Amino acid sequence: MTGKLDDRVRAEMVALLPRLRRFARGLTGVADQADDLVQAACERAIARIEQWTPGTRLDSWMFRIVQTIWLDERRAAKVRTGEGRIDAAEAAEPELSVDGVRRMEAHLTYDAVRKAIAKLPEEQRAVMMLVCVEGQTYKEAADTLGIPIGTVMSRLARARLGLSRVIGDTASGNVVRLG
Amino acid sequence: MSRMDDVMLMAYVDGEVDAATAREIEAAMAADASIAARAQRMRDGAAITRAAFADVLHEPVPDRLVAALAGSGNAGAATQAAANVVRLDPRRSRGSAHGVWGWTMAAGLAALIVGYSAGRYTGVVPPAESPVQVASTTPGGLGERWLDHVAGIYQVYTSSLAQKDKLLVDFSAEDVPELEKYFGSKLNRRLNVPDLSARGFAPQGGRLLIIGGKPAAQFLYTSSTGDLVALVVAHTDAPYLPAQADRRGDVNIVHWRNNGYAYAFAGTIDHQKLQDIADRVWRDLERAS
Repeated sequence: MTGKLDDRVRAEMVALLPRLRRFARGLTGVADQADDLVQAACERAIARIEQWTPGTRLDSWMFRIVQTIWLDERRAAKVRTGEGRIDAAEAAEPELSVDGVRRMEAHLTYDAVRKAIAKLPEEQRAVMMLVCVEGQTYKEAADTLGIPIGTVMSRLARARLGLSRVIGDTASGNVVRLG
Repeated sequence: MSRMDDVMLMAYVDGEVDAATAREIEAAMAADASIAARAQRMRDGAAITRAAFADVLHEPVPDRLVAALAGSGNAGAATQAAANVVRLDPRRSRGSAHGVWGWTMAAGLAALIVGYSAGRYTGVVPPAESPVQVASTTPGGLGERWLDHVAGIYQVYTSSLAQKDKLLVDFSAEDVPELEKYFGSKLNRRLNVPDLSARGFAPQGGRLLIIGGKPAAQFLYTSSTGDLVALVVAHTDAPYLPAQADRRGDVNIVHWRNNGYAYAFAGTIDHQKLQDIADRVWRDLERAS
C-alpha cells in the first residue's frame, strides 16, 4: 500500500513542522539553513508521498528525508568548495553579550551545547538529535536513518562523550561559588 | 575504560538494557564512583541537549514551509494547511497529557490560578497593569517556553543531586546574604531568598542563568526527605500574569509575572504542596521588591 496525499496526511505533516525544524536546526546549526532544509524535505515528501507506507511512522519517514537531503547537500558542498564544513557554530552566534554578563555567557549552557552539537561529525549529530532530543529509541533511530542499531549506539556513544566534556566544562564554569 | 563500557553505560542511561544488565551496571556504579559520574554526565548531556533545542518548537513556523506542504497550485489546500498551523500550535506537540496551555480557556483559568486571590495582587499591581491577560499569548521575548528551560535545568540538578554531585551549585545556607546581594545586582532589585524553613525546605544552592538574553537567578532548596524545589527569577517585558500551574514532564511548575520579573517555582513534589509553598515564595518576594 502506498501513501496518498489527502488532507489528513497534509495536516499531519504541518503538525510535524516544528519538530522537523528542530531536527534540522540540530543538523545545520543555522536557522535559515535549517528552514531551507525543511522546505526541501517537505517538497520531496509531497512529490514522493507514494514511497511512504501508510500505517508506518510519518515522522520517521520525514526525518529521514531531512537527513538524506542534508547529507546530499553536504557532499555536494564539499565537491564544490573542496572543504569539509561550514562552521555552523560561528554563524549561529546569538546576540546576547552585554558587558559584565559577557564573561558569564562564555559558559552559557544551552549555547555551548548547541555549539558542541554543531561541531560533531554529521552522522553523530543525527543520532544525537533523534535519540536525545526527539526521544526515539535506538531501534526507532536505526529505522529512521536506515542503519543498524549497533551503528546508532557507537555513533551516539561518541557524540555523548564529546558532549559530556563540554557539559562538564560548562557546568563548572557556571557554578556560583561564594565564600 | 573501554569503548564497550561507554556504550553499555549509555544504553543503561537511555533505558535500553534489560533488567539483568541494568543490575550489573548499577552494581558497577555502586562500586566505582567514576562510572556513576560518567553515567551522570551522559544523563545530564541528554537533558540539557533537549532543553537547548526546546525553543525551536515554539518559534512560529515560516509560511514558506506550510506552503511547501500545500503543494503547488492548490490554493485551497494551502489555506487549509495554514489554518492548521494556527490550530496545531507547536506547544501541543509536547504531548497532549500536559502540553496544552490554558491561555485561551478563560473558564479553565480559574482552576489554574493557584493559591492567590485577586485581592492579594491588587496591592502590588498598578491599576493599568491589573487586567489579567488571558486570551493572548505572551508578548515579548519571554513566553512560557522559558518553562522548558526551568524544567530542564531542574532535571539536570535533580540528577546531579542523586549522585551527591555538588558540581552544579555550591553554596550553603550561611552564604545566603551574599547570594542575595550577588543576584540582586544581576537582576537590579532587592532579592531576598525566600525563607521556606516553615515548609521544611532549606536553601541548597544557586546558579546564575541567562534567560531571554538577560541574567536570571535560580535558587534550589531541598527538604529533609530529599525533595527538591527550584525558584527561578528572570527579567521579562511581558505584562503582569497571575500565578499559573503548568507542567513539563514530571516537573510541576507554578509561575507568575509582576513588575518586569517572571518567576517560576518548580518541583516534582505533589502539585498542591508545590502551590502551597509557592504561595510563601510569592509573599516573600513581593515583600522584598
